[in-house]
Amino acid sequence: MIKITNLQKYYRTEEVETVALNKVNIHVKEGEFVAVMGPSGCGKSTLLNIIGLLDDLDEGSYLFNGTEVAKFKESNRSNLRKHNIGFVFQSFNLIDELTVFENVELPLVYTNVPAAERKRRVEEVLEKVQIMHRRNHFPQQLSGGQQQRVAVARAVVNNPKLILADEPTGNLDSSNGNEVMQLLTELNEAGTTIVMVTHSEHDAKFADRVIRMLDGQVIMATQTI
Amino acid sequence: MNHIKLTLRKLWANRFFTTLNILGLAIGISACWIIFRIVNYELSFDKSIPNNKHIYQIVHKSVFDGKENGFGGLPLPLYPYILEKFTNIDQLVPVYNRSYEEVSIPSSTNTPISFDEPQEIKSTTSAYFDMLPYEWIVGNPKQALSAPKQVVLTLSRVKQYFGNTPPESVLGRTLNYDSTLFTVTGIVKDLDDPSSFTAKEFMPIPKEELQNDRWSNSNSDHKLYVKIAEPQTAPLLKNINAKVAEMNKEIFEKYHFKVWFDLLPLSQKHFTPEYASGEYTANRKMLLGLIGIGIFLLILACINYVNLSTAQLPYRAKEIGIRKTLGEKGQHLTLKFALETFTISILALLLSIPFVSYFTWQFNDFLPNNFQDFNAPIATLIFLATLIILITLLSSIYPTFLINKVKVIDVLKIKSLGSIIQSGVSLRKVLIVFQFVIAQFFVIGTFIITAQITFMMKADLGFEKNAIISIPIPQKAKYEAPANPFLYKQAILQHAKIQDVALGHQPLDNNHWGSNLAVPSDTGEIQLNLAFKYTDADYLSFYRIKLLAGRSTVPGDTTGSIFINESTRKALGFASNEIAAGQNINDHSGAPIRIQGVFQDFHSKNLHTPVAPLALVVTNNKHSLRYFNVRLPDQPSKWPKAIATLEKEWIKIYPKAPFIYSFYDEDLKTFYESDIKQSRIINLATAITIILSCLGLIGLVTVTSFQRTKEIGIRKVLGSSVFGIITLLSREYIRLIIIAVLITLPIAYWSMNKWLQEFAYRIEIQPWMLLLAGFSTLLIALLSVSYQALKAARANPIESLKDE
Repeated sequence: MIKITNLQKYYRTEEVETVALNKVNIHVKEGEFVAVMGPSGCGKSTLLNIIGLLDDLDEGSYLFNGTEVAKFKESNRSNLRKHNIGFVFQSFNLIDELTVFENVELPLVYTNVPAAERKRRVEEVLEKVQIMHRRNHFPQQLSGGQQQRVAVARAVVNNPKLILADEPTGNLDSSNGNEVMQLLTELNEAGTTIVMVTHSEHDAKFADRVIRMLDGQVIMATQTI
Repeated sequence: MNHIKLTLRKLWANRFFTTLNILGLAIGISACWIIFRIVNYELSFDKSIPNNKHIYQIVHKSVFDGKENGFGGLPLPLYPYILEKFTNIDQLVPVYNRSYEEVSIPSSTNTPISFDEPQEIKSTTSAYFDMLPYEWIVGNPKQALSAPKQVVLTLSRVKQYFGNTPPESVLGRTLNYDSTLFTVTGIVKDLDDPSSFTAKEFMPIPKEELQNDRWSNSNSDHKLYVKIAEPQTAPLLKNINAKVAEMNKEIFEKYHFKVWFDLLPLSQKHFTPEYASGEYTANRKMLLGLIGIGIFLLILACINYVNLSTAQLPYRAKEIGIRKTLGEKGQHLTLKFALETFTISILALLLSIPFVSYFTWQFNDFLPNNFQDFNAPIATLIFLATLIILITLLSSIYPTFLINKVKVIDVLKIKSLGSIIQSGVSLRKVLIVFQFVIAQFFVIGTFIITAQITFMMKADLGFEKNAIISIPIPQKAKYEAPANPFLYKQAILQHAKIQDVALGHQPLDNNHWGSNLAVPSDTGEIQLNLAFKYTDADYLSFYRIKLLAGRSTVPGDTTGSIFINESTRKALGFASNEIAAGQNINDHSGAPIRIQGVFQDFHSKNLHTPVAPLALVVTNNKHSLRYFNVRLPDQPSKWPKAIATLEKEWIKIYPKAPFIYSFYDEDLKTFYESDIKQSRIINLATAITIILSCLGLIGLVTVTSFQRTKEIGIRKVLGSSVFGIITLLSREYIRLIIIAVLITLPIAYWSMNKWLQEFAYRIEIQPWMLLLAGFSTLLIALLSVSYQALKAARANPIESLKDE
């Protein structure tokens, strides 16, 4: 599903050029659950942003479902993103002014799904993450675990083929964290590909495979059991 | 020094906001500065004259038909009378206008240098120089005007007449005023400060004017000033009023008329136009209005500054928080901010220098004549310093209050940056609506005034005005023009290039004679006072004015014939044009006169006034005819040759008169000069209010974009397009602007309708004009919002969603 070859990414300021990602090669098959690990600043979030088409790459090739997307324009990327990729962030990134229902509904609005269909799908996914009873609450009225469940619901409401999770349990206590990991595992078992950046060895155990990074390079890919 | 360095560095880092701030304040400062200069100029009139509170102009008042009138002119015998009766008066200064066609400087070698109709020549006495602070360069102040045919010049006039000849050499030279020789007996420096006394040449009062005894005649050429102690004013007035009543007893009784004199203090003279004739006066109300506008614009600019700087606060909150954590005191932060405001104000002041010069250059015709020469450096310096301090104070109070409110803990957690500034947002929305109401008002004003002026310029005036040039018929004696003006007409008509020629007043201009016509009617007699224009026999056909009844003009119509327009026909009570044509009526003297023809109404005044009764009279008299009106070929490319032909023939017939011509359609524009002027001021006001309003809007959109950075990021990640984000951010402002537009529409409609009432012929305000104006404002507002919105929308969401 994802085939990245010889990826190079630089950050430039006026005087200095820093290599963020150096000759990265990654291959993720459809239906895989991959964890990316490494110390702060090793480039794992940058890699995730590139995979998620939020950031562009300077050199190399990126095949997404067989299509070369490295040179895609913003509008094409946006289009590909909203139909295929769901995001889960460490700090949930829910919109404070919108209710749980409206937050989850947003990706459907942007893909022009009709209102009745939207309602059905949002309710279905809210049931799935067991937050239906809180559908009219605002994010601040929920616990961290509940907020992250809403964020996961929002990520999957469009039935994306790929979910990108950036430290999804980073802001959660262990029981809430486990709930979210459980949720992601269920989604993976239902066929969704997941790439997750994490610091936690515990969380990484949920994945099929761990990619370890250091200083912008992939140093090891481990198969977990 | 370090503070200034840090301040400048900070301003440079925030160049975008710094530029907006400087621009906004510069506009406010420029407006205040210009207004200060105008007000200071007007208020300084006659201030530098010593003991000015004891100086009065004696003015003339009258009651006729129950209406009281004021007038600056006086009967000539008043001056000798007061001079003789009141020996205890400090100074009594007559100032009588003189006018000459030409002043020339006789020269033994060359032909004399001459100057046409020099202005500001006055007859007076040596008391004039006792009352006013003139500095004598050469000559004896007591003797310079003691004998007839003496003249005292100011330095500026000496320079005009004699170039760089030193004043000492000019003394004793002779000047020829319309063939009377005068000797220069003194030269004085021009008055530096603005004054009602603007004379450049001074002569003694002619003997016959001192001996004149007609108390019933007053002429605005004759003015009289008196310097007198306050207790003596009442006896003086009592005495002269008794005298004028006694001398005019018969006339007063016969016509139920009354005249008396009053004293106008010199301090009020500049603001009292009714007693001025020729002197430049100012309107106190207008000055107060200007001061009001200045204060208003300054407040608007300061509010914008506050708007923009509070908008920046969130960006700075972190720095403030860190500084506070490290122990920086609130006062110190306040001072730092005030220093920034002060620096920006100074930069704005520098920018306003070119703004002010541009304005005084571009709008020179709005400013009084000697305005540019009037500099009051100390007053200006004090004013600008006060202004800068005031701006610094006004603009710093609120932002520093907010800075001091910043809670360290909140800032360091980057939690509630939004809430720091949230409190001000709704107030600012009200302000934005208010600013846009004003801007919208001016935009509508601009649209409608422009439409009305275009309408007037293009209106069918009822006569042909294109490809016509007008040449004044030489009248002055020195031109030695032949009495028969038709010689020139015949000469130029020989040329095929000249299409047509007619002599006479232009159809639309300010020149006409007024007279009475009378028609007997059932109820007695209809008397009509109307305008007469003198023409030759080709006039109607030349201007393509349509004849409605009777016959057209023929050369023989010079006596006993008259041609009237349709309005006159109606006013005289004739049922139809056909009935009127051929009727005998009476002219002002009662002599019979025949209506030979009735022509269609045309506009003989500008479109402010309705078409009035008008009569055309055919004459051969060159003084009455005034102009050669010449039609050029239709193709403008042939005009230069045609004009060259006109000039060639001119030199043959009028060798001593200058060949001066103007295009009539250009001349017509001058009748709308005040309207065009008004529209230029409105355009300027529109530009200023729009710029200030947009600056405020940019401030507000920056705050909200910042507050919603994260939301924008999330929405983008979830698939929103850039356009979607711009819409999201702009929607709110569009709503505000629409509210402003809705508030303005009825106000603007009402007041512009009122403005249009001043025109007898006017456009109707169409809905599309209002809609178009509203739409333009909306568009401008959108453009100013879109920069920030686009910036926010295009920002990489990764930045705003970072978890650090």
